Amino acid sequence: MPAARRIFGLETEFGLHLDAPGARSVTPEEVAGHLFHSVVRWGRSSNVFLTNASRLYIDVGAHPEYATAECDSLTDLIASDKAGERIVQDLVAEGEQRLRDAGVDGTIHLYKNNTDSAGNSYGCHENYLVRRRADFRAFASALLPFLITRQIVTGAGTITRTPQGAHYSFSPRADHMWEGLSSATTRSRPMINTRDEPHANAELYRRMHVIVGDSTMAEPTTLLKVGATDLMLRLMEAHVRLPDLTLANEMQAIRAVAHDITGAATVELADGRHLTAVEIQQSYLDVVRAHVGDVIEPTAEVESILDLWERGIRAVREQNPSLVDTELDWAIKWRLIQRYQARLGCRLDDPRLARLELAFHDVSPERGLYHRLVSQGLVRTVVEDAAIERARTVAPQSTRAKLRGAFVEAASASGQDYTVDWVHLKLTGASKTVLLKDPFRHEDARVDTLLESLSADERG
Amino acid sequence: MTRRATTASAARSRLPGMGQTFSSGQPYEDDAPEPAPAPAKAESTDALDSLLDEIDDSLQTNAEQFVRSFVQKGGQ
Repeated sequence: MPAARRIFGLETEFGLHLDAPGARSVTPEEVAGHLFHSVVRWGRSSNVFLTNASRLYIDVGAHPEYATAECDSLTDLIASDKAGERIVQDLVAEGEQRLRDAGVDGTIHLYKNNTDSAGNSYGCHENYLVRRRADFRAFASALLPFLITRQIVTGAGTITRTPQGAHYSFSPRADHMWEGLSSATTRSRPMINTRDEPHANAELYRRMHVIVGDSTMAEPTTLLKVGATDLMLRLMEAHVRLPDLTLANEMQAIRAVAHDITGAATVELADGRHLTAVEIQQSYLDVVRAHVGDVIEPTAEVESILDLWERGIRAVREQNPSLVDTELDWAIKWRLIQRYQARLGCRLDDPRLARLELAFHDVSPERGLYHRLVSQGLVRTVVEDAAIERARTVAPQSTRAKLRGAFVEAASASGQDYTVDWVHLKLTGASKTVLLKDPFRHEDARVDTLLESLSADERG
Repeated sequence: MTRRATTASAARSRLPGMGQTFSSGQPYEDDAPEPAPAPAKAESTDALDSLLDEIDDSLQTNAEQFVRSFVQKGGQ
């Protein structure tokens, strides 16, 4: 049984919302500028790598974006992802102060969600390093029926408003997908982006860049979203024969699944069969389970992923969200919304419920709901709080991220200018750039030398 | 995407501690009899209601204006 080691990364674009009733109108760009003032002061740029080896920047549309460092375990990934929420939230107080100084009195909210109130969408991108192969398009296409239907377990859930009224759907992202595979991202959003940027030795690796997923708040949802996808990839890499569930029309299917919370809607397969998302997910879960012990090394983590996957499918099949309503975002939110709706005696399209939905995704520990739900035991966690705290400043220690984190830390402390990206480390003015093509390596003699020279400078 | 950076660590040193706890709003008395182990669902129902009690006012205040003012260009 091969030791399964994979590099994972998550990129999150946050919704940026200035609530300042009565103030002059302020563009998202201006708010983002104030929010990132301390980042620019630290890194002379609004696009930086931090000491925890992750990347923080302002992306298209003035969205603050946080990309985790490369992680080789799901617990490191979740810790780094959650640390990112805290890192961006910590920019809020100064951003608000700077806006007040500019005459705008308001509150800044950062949402880890996927749509604004006008229906604009932004993403959460998952990265899985896979072995390069000649048939990448076929390989990636084989994952599409899984990605299209996994929203019934890992979707963030959302109230969808239509001219005919409102209903609850599995995924806010589903309506914004226009292609299966493509190298574009904003012009035509695909489910898998085929842009070939492995940030690693390109002869050996490719990046599976999944951009169809929802941003997820609850740690078990992230565990299942990335964990189940990783297990699928492991089977595919081992050339296990998967059930052929190729869909007849992917764009139609992803919408049909999203908008049917009963799980009863069927989608048409290329071979003419009609199956529900529940049946498709169950087929994949069954084949994954059948290979635990040969292709998949049995671990407690794998078991917990499979257990949650199973219960998530059952929750939809049996229409019993309480099976997962402390673990899966769509069910956690649905319970909150239904309870609040009952108290208010209002319709589902009431703005107070939309406000509740935003509060769920607000990353603030004070203004947001997620942290309150966790402290009340209403949402389960996967990693210790101390691990998240540590991940704010300390890079994952078992991948290349360790080298980058140590370099950023030492170079910052020395006061020297430097340049850094996913694969390069360089001191400004130095003749050599250190190129780190292997994301699995956390030790490198060249980096040691570089770090020694930096600490010598500091002593000297 | 290479970027320069210089001194200090403003972006991380200001980050305040987390892990706050929030009062549940559920008073209890020391001398009350040991409660029988209630079904987990009932307990979390109470917790959810008291949480909604806590946030009800802030959610109701200008909800429509608040929600409508969140508009941003799309991202990737």
